[in-house]
Amino acid sequence: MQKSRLVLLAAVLVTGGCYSVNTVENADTTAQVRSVPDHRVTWDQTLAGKFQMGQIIETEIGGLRKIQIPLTNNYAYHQECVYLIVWSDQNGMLIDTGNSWHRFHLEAHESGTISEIAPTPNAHDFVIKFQEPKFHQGIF
Amino acid sequence: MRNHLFLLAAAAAIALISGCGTPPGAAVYTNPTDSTTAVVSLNKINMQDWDTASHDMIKSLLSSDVLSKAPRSPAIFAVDRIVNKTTDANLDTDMLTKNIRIALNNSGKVQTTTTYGRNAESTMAQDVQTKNDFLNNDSNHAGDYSPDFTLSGKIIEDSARSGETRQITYVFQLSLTDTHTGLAVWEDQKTIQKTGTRSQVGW
Repeated sequence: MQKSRLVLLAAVLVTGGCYSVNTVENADTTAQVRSVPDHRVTWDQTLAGKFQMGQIIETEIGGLRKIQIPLTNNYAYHQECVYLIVWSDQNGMLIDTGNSWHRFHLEAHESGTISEIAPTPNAHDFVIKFQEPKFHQGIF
Repeated sequence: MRNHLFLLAAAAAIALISGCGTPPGAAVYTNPTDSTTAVVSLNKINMQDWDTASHDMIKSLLSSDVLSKAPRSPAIFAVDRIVNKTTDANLDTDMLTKNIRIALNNSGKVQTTTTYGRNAESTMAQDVQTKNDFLNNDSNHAGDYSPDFTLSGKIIEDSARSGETRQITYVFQLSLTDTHTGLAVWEDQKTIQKTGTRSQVGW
């Protein structure tokens, strides 16, 4: 019984690490980043455990605010989530751009980024919503 | 007696739950911004595909900041040919370009001309413009309406099959041309790939 459990654990460990993403990068990063202090509300603890969210950084391009959010997949297999960004102006009023939920996919233990650019120069603040993807119906 | 009461309560609960729920086969309204629950087709470009492609193209175009380098602000923008290289002869490329036009207009960087060219979007406005230029004896005014940038591109379809698995790929290619130089100042390509498996006989 003990041996069978060890074999099962070994099988899980081996297969779980098969598709993980290894990385190599320059150790001394020279980029000058501008961090954005954020406020987080977590209702879905499972989703929060799957995707580790790093520090939001920002820049300005042509008078438009651009933000970037780093995410890391903490699981040993590919994960997917959906996100929606909502912008508001300097008066706190919502800027309705008809934006939709978008899919974001990461391989096992992979790190990636979500980047978004403001729709208008008046867009000051933002809220990014994350959710587990729902079931897709397929037709042929 | 107890069993009868239990059966009565169960029947009442079923009636209550089924009464509140959606009858089977009934159509319901869904959120058009929630592409995650939308139907995925392997024989056409779905609404969520148009939305994803245009969203990524807009991000790329605005991030490139080429529109800020126009000789006037806001620059004048026009949509040129978007070639359809898919099997859907009725494909409407406005599904892609309209989203881009709206986003660029909202950004304040461009305004789209709807009166330029032989296939002007608003022929009525074009006629009014021509008449006013004639009445004002201002034939050179036409230069003010010429676009600074034009958007052109192509939508390509590729399909593949392996056993019962079918894969369809759509490639959206766009180029932004500076009309003063004739150079493509921005280009991008977005690929959307869908895969599905079907086990029914005859497919």
